[in-house]
Amino acid sequence: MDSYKIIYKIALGEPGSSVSKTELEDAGVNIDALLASGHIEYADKATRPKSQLEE
Amino acid sequence: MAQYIPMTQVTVNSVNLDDRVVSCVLTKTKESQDVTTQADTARKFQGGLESITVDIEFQLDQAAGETTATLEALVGTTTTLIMIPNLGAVSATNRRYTVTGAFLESFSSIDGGLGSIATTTAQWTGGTLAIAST
Repeated sequence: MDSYKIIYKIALGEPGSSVSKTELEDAGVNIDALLASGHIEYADKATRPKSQLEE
Repeated sequence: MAQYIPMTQVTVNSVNLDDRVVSCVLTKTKESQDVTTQADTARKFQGGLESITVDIEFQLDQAAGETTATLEALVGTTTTLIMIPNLGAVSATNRRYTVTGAFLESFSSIDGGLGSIATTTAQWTGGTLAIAST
């Protein structure tokens, strides 16, 4: 299951904690936007899109 | 009875932005459809498609995790907005308004004049509204 690390506080958790893709989707969160704004990041490289692994 | 709003709890894409909200307006409309026939002597209308609009004025803040970063990333996409009129728990007199699938067409990252606090209004359109009292 895809998991994300929370960098800046969001409604689903505090910085340092993790949140799953399912939790984010169930809350109607735009995950791409939350990644772009820096609020969350991929918990590990295994969950990153291939394009980002090649950077 | 008029409702005094000391502070609206506002969550945009799961990010709590209470401390940067200046004003918040949620509007629900239904298009009027003319259903008048020759048998009528006056115009008659009925409700058509529902439309939701949310206008929120924010103080701009470029700090990490704040308004500018949060909203710039949402331009051209949809998200979920949660608004609760007053501080405190959700109740029958402090209901939670959740708009799912709200679209943000534009955001002004720079908006202000000399000697003023930089604020800008973001407008979300569309989506579906759910109102809860628990």
